Amino acid sequence: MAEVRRKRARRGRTVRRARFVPFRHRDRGLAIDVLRFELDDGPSRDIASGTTTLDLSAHRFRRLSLDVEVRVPRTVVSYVLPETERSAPPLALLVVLACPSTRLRRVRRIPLETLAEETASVRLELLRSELRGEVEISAVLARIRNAAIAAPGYAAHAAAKVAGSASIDLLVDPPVRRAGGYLEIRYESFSKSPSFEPGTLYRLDCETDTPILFIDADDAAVRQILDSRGRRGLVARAREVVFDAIGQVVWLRLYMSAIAGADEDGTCAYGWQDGVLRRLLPKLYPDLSDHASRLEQLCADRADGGLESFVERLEALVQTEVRLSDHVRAVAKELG
Amino acid sequence: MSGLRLARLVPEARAFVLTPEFVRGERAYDPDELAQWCDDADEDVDLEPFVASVEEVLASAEPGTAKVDALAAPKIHRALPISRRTAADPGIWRFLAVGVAPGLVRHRWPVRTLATTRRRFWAPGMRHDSNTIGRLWWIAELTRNGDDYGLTRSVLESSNLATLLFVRRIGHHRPIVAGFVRFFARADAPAVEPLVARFSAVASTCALDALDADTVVAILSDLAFAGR
Repeated sequence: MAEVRRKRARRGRTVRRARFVPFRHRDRGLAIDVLRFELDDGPSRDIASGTTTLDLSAHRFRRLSLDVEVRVPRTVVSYVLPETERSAPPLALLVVLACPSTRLRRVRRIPLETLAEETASVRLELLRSELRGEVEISAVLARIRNAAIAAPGYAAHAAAKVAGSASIDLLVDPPVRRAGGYLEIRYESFSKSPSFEPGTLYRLDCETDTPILFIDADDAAVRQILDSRGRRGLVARAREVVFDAIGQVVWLRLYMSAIAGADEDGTCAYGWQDGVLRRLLPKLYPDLSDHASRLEQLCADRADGGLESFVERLEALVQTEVRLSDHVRAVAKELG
Repeated sequence: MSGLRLARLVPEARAFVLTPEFVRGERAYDPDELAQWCDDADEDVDLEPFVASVEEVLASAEPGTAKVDALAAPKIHRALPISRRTAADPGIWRFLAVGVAPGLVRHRWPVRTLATTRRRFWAPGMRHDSNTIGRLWWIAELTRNGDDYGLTRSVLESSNLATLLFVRRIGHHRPIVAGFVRFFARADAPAVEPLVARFSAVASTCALDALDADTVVAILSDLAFAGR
């Protein structure tokens, strides 16, 4: 049975930037539901109304069919069109299925004038070979032509989005789980590989799907400190300071990589960069209230001042985050 | 039939294989050498056609130019008949760039900085500094019409336009790319960069799936007129 989950598991999700369009009728927008699904030639299975995440990641299907229903309340038309256009609404309902990883978009377009009832039913047929990770299903109402005369307060141009639905997420593959949240930690013998600089303790590889922190396994003394589990005493305090020393550089690199990695739409090359930005941006831009606005500001600041303009702010931020000064004082106290 | 098959390079290989010597072209890897860092790809693909297509590009396209992109993208796409699911795995593009056709990456992009060149072997996505081979395959996949790669060639012949379009989601929509190519083919076309940015702002209020090429050209014309 498909596991239906209503709560989103944030970690390891495919990166997707969602921007809310403040439709004036937002409380009276479109409602979308996946009513049932079929895998290959199996039986049709019903899905509870209001389901927002459909997890099919445990199934090895080749073909998937989804029955989708969209409700378009009659009142929407009066909210999004001026009176002169309401008798023959120049609108189309688009049911859109998008898979960010495979860049697949499957669109079913239904002219609103052909919709006899308030609901539209659509069957979507998909192949596993065209999907990976997460798929988003949503509906949008768009203008199909320019308005003859633009009415104040109403969208007038062709393709303008005038109403939308919430989205339903379909999980085709299980989300990637990472140890340590943002990065993996691995011990490697630095002396046995020419890839590591002699005399270094660690190396962070940011430009990959999950950042990897390599720590030199040859240095038994350092490893003893890092692997210690005690919470009291000099070794525990030394461990904190060593982690701080590494952590400062690691966080600075993660932040800089995420800032550099967001493209013009705010989409990140690596999934972890999105998570890092969601942690960082509220601290960089506390006066802005949502992630999309903060991303826009970030891109503008990056274009104005380049990456270097962030270094000083991040340096101070990271020091306070890792609590370096507290931990150095604790070592001093331990030493008497 | 070649014995070389498609594989995927695992993420942790980066620290070990993208050495300065490799990135500068002073060292190459035999696919057997990379075996310790490789997993099977989702699909079993013979790479002989891919290797042949890369050799054709290296022999005929002037290095360091957008002509490499325009010539290589359709050839690479035809030579790698893989599903989008397989193509969404960055590991296969890393294997192809590092283990099979590093020469193509360096032929297109002369090594200026190690960091950027590393990204051209490794980073997923369609930015100009992402994996060169994967980027071209995906641009061909998104812009072809069946076996017609005319739009793919046209958009890639303008390096600037391709760079600006494919860092944005508008580049995932074939009619939008077609509208841009048609508009900027005009002799009196304005500068690309400010117009792409302004179009993106307008597009954020549009249902991108409802835009056809004619509407895109009309919007670009309005924006260009307003910007004069």
